[in-house]
Amino acid sequence: MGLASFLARRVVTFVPSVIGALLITYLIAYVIPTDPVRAWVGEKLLNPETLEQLRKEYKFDAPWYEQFGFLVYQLVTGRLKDPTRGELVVKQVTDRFPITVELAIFAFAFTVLIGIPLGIIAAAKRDSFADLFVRVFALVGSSIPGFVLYYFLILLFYVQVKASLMAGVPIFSRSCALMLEGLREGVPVIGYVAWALGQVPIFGALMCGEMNVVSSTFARMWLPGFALGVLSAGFLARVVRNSLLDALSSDSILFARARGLSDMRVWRHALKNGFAPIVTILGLHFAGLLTGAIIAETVFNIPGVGRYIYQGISRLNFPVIIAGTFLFSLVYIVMNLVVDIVYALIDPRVRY
Amino acid sequence: MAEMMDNQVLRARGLTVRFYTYAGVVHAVTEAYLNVYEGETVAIVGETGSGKSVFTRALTGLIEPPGRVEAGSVLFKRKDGSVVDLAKLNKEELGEIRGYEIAYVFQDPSSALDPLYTAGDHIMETILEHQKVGKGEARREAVRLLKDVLIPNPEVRVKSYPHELSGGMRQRVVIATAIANKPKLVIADEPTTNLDVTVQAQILDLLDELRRKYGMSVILITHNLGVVAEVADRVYVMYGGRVVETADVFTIFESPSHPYTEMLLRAVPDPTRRVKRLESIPGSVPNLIDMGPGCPFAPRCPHAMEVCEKEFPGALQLADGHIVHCWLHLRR
Amino acid sequence: MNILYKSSTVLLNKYAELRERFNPGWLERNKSKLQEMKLTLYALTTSKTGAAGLVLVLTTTFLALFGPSLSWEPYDMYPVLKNPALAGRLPHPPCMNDCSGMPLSGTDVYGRDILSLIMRGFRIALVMSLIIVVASAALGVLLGLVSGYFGGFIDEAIMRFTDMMLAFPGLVLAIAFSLTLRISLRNVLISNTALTALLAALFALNPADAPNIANILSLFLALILVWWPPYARVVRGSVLTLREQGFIEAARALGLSTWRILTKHILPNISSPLLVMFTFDMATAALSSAALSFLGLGAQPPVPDLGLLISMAGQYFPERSWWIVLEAGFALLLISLGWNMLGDALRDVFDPKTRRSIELKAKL
Repeated sequence: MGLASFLARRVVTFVPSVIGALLITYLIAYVIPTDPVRAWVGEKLLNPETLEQLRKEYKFDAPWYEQFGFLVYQLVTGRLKDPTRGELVVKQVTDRFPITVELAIFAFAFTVLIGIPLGIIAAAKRDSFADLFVRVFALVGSSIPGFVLYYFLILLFYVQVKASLMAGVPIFSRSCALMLEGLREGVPVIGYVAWALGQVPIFGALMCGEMNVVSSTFARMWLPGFALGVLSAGFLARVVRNSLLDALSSDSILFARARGLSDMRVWRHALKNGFAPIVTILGLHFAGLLTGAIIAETVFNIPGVGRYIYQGISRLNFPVIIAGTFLFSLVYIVMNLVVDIVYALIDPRVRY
Repeated sequence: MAEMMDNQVLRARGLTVRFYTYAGVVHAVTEAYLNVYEGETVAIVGETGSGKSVFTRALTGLIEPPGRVEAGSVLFKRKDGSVVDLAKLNKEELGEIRGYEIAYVFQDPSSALDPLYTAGDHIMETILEHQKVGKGEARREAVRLLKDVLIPNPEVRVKSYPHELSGGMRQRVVIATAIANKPKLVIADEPTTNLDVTVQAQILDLLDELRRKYGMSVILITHNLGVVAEVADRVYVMYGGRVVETADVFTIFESPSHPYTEMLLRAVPDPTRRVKRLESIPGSVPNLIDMGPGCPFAPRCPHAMEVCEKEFPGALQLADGHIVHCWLHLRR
Repeated sequence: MNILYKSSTVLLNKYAELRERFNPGWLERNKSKLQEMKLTLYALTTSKTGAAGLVLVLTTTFLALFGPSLSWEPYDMYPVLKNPALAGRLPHPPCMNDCSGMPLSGTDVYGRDILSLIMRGFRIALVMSLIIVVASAALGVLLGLVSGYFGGFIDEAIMRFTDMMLAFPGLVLAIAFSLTLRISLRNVLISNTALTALLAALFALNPADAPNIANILSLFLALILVWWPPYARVVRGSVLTLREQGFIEAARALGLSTWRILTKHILPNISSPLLVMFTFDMATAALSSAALSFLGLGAQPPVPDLGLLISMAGQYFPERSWWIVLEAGFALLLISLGWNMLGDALRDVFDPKTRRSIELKAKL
């Protein structure tokens, strides 16, 4: 009961935050003293009739709050259209977001798989070589400019050794897509969740058993994932190490040892206590991966949502900007919620 | 190697613990000794920094680097009657003894208990670690132990987390984990210092009751002489890492021989007398870093002589069980 | 390492002597502060990271100051324009042996010597980071102090605003801001030649190139707008803890003015975590501004911005431009590594646990 009301409270503050986020972005874009419609159409087609039509369609003559309301309404009802391409923005976003999620998952996996074991080893063998290595790794990792690393990794693993693909993203077959749709329609709740999960190409392929898609996804995504993930691994290892060392020197660990508990039991106490603060960091990190992979998507040629939104912003594409902001704030709010839930599950003190 | 008496549980001799820090070598404990017999409560008294906590932790090897037990023997009679030297055991063997034959109760139950584990979890894991029983049996035992330590509603409380319990109840849970495997010896390090005064009395009574019920011996560390008078059978007085006097409780209060013990007793205000100033011991706690060879109390002692700075006085037996380390008495 | 320590203490002592001469009695009043500074210097110079960081920071700062003067080629001249025959061989890789006058470190697509460009690039990167961090720290600290000290409605208002800013992915917001600003700033600079000249001098660029200077201005203004919230948060938190402590209450009781309390009592107490934040932020700001330039939001050619250089090299990567990415990337690495190491060492000095061992080793 404590958990349920806690969740309810969090969800209720959701709506005002999102609206606030949308408003800020819109106002920013609105302040730009140029004619966005001109920018959308580009330098080529300066047909005054088309310009006028677009202006009317997007309510540019109306006061700013009407324009804002119009855009939000279109967004919420899924009818928002991208003026430069004439297609539905929402469709673009829902097509591209799962790919960004896929990239984020790969990157997150690398960060966690490298960072956490390193951090645990550094804590267990204090002041040893592993400890020094973690310090240096963390330091260098946060000093290398990401885009430089990306280029060199591409040089190493794609140019010299063709160990990775660089174009397109493998996706499951049509029949698989149909099957997932069927799940969504047919089975209540769980079906919907399964369908949503399956939108991420690799999960969808796994669910349909299309293993060739799975393996080619790995071939395509491991390099960008590694590139995006390895730099943060050092930082994570450092944080894990410090958190574990704090936990290991606590009085409850002394008490555990004084009770003659085995090393395994003692470490279980230390790990449980040490990881609670790390959950927050990991959650925020994942949210950051979902919203900030613009450079990686550009360099590695991945058709994700980050690149789409960046292009939208640079072309003053209001509908895209609004949609993008909505998505990003959604990501952060959901992520915060997830972190809070996981934290409440781990730490009983938080539940009230 | 001297033998243990028939009813003796613990015999520690010449225990020395040093901490190697950047500041220098901290002489936390120097040549400390201790005898504990069956069914008795032994009190270790001293100020902060006297070495009492480090001494009792060193008994079962709970000292971590940069600390090191440099010397000493700790003879302990196990439940099966065999005698081992704890100072010579390896990690696994010590792990068998801790929590099963020798148990600890620490000062702050809020930090000793893991906030992510319930009361029942703590007790159960202590039982499961040392005894070959099933989880269900361990759970039932946990409830029974909570009842033993006088926690109301034990079936419900066994699932409580530490933050849901009051300070007194937390300490009771700690005591329950200590007696879970019916140890021969319980070492309680200032178990009531962090609690309210009314709760203090309850906890002390509880410890005493349990001691009688389960035939355990208790080492009680405290700086509160009132507590000593209440529950202790014998007393060890420590200062600057050394044992300076030991006697049974009556002798300590009626005829203290070491200057430090005397001043300690005088510092306790008598509620029936009116005084203008409270008595205190002048000076401050000794610096344990790179200590000299003399008596650590010399700088503050009103009877200090030249020899006190040069050499620590050996043991002088004044009466049966009354030993003092002081040049004042040795001279006579 | 000893040299560093000895030379820095000599400098410190000279500074103390100077202050004493102008203000007799200063030495007596500030003895502990001097002691503290000497301890910090000791900690920095004896730890490997600290010493290395200090060396790197000093080197890159030196390059930033004198790079543009030392560089041997102007950045706004394209050799390929003067010598069209070269076009087919550009960008030219580095060559060890004689390669008919081509620079040792290779050229970019316009024929400019990369190393010379990088020497100028240090100035741009460091001035940018400095302005971003100093301005956002000033803004954030001010807001945090006000918010934390006065509490109530002001606190609520400022904190809600800060939370909203923090809820956004910084990169996206920075992009949006810089795009918004660059157009309006362009007009501002074109009409205001004094400002343009000042900025041009700071960045060692040609003052005639107003649009590009506007781009740079918009970039670091955008980053400042995104950068200040963490400072406000941290400072407010520290102020809240300090506010409850006795000495603040005592100061108020003595009738000290608010300004005095804030500057003389609260600020010095929070300076340690702020200093650490500052050094780490110098590294992050350098990387972030380079990243945004890489995306095309900063200066455009011919400005020798390190991020821009790498971005331009992107299309020829790797056979025809790997040296550009390597050299410019390495320059960025030096800058951020130096500040990161310095921050690491400073953090150890201010952490009470590690501080003790440093103090005892120093035996000052």
